[in-house]
Amino acid sequence: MNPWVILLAAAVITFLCRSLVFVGFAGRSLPPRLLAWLQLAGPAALAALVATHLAAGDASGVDLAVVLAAVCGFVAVRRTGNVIAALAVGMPVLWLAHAAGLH
Amino acid sequence: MSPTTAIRPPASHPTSAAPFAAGARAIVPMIVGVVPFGIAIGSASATLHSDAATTWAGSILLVAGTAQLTMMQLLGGGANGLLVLLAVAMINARFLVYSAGLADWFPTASRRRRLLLALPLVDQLYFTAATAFAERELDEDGRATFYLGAATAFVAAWVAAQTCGLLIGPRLPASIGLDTAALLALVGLLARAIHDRRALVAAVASALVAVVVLHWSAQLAVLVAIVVGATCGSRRSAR
Repeated sequence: MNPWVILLAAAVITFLCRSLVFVGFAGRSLPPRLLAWLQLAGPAALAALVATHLAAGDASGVDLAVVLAAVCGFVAVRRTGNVIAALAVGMPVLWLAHAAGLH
Repeated sequence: MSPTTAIRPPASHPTSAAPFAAGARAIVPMIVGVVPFGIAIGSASATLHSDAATTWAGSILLVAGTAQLTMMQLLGGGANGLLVLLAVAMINARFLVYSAGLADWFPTASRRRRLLLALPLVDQLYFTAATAFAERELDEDGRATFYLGAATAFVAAWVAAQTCGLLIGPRLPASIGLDTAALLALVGLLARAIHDRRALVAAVASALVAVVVLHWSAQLAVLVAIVVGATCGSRRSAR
């Protein structure tokens, strides 16, 4: 499938997600259980993306330096509450780990 | 508290005179947090074998970094187009929740205005508006103007960040590891998204399922993991 077709379809899907309840269900609301499930789809999606990225690694397998950077970045954000901390801490850890020969 | 409830603003936030500018100012901390992510996505375009024009158009058409990055990663891995779209739908399903919030803030908006207000809805915009509307006295028009001010600033910064990433990314040495920057941005968002036990269960279950399914099908791993993770989380109590 052409990437442009996929992009346009993804844009339509994204807009539907943003507007469906606001425009299509004006005056009504979604079932609470469905709303609760939808709220958890975000963290589930992020965890799946991170896990597959880390587990897939690169051509030579799992890069332990990247895993270490991700763990340090995660802890930094949990401690500071600032998303930027993942990059501010994770990237130097990655560079140091690679410099130390960890792969 | 209902966002439509009138609350007196703090004296230090006289926003009623210029809600558009106030909205743009209020979202600046979110912009600071998301710009590195935007640059990382733009930079990752080359390493993920994504066409630069498609990536740039995606920054405008989607304004949804996680979904865009997922789309690029799955397409770069040769995933089927329908699976990519399913993954995008699952990842963006949380916007349905935010959409319900918009209905509360703008109860009398016309259909055309509802479409306009829904267009830029993202996590950062929703949380900025939710915080502001809980603290400041604004009527529905004021809320809409504040919201659009924040949305305009955010989208402009987001597109600019991805443009910078596309321009400077290929010129940077591979050793800098900018592809890892995109991963770290996701890690940061994940760390912020785990705010209670249900979210923790959803994230852990999703990660485990993703790693297991990855051995059978890289294309299905993310999708299956989201469904299983969110379902596991929703079966747990919040505390």
